Amino acid sequence: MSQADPLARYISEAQPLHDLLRRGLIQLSGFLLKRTIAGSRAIVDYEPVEGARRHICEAAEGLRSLRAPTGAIHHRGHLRAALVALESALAAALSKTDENGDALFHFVQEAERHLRTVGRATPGFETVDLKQACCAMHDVRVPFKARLVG
Amino acid sequence: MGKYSIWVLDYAAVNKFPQSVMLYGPQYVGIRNLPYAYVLIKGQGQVILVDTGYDHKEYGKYLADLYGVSNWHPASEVLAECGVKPADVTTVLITHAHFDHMGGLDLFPNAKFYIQKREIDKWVWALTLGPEFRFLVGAADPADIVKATRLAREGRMVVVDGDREDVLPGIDLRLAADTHTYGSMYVTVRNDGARESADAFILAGDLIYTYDNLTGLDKNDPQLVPIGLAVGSQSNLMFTSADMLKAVGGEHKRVIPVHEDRLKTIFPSRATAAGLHVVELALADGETSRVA
Repeated sequence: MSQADPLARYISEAQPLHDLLRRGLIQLSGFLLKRTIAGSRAIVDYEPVEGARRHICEAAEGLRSLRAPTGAIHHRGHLRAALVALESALAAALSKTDENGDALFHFVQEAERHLRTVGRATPGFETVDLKQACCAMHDVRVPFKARLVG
Repeated sequence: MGKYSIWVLDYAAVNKFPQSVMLYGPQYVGIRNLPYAYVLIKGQGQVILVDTGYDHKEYGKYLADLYGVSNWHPASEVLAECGVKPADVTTVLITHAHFDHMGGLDLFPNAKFYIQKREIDKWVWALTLGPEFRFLVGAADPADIVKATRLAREGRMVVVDGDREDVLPGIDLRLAADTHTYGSMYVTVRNDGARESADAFILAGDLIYTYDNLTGLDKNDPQLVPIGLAVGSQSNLMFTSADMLKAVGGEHKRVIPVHEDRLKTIFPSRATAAGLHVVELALADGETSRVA
């Protein structure tokens, strides 16, 4: 498929947005995990929430202008649904009323479900970056010359 | 006879894994078979797992197609070789947070899970870095963090801050900071229960991939050789290897690399009908051998 193909163009534009959502999800999940373990938000730092905010805002901007060909509309719908869930999760993370993290956990789970659905539907949209995994160290897709350089 | 029975259980394998990842050093020096395995410890009223394997539903085809991971089998089938069901597992000790070690968090409904605080803290921190640092969070799965959060909310995720002795009777957790991962840990089973044990086994996670990490390749000139994949330092890996060896009185074979293909020839073992291996490290009083 060339970039002139609408579907190929969609995938290449959607992938970095998916990655932003994935990173936002991990940061909010990590924040919640640390907060849950600590038992008090007072001793948990908000740096992951700030990181998530940046990624979610950037993803929102990209998704607003992401054009999807007919065959990818459903796919984009899941990305947008994940974004909505993450925006709600972000609000919950910053809220003073969600002290036990129930709302944050609910929206994090919802976002994770949507991103996982996307990952199942489309190679290259996995929620875990398997290119960095131990077993990827002999990835047959990496050209031999590049391996020598690496 | 020890207090615990200990088995290493294969659940998948990579048939052609580069030796250069297993042993830091020259590239293109050959390939090895790399079993994927977890460890079952049984005794003292406990059924303990060291690591959980990965979630085949999500990654199985991807891993098989691209990286040659083959012959995956579910925990229900693998544990059955030792007469254990996933619901029987009481404790899971997570050596590090890679998807292939903690991807099965939701498979053990009655277990309590232990992981290092540093592993979680630094994992989340690394995610605040830019995508150019993605190597540092390689193999981190958001689903696993969500699962871990669910467990924490249920009071089933215990975060350990550094070393902990007798997390269960005769079982110690040791932090190996900034090695393979930021908060890797290894597990010591003092199978005679003694503080200065003469019957200890160390379950090393990915701190070593092979016995050759403890001896080097030249038997006449042994040395510690770190693994080839670390976010921390090679120095830390080597000092950790030295610590592990010291804890078993220098008896190399008691430091268990779960990815070591030779385990099945060093210890009593058997092949299952599925082509996996059950390796029996120790057998507790009253326990039936699973390899006889």
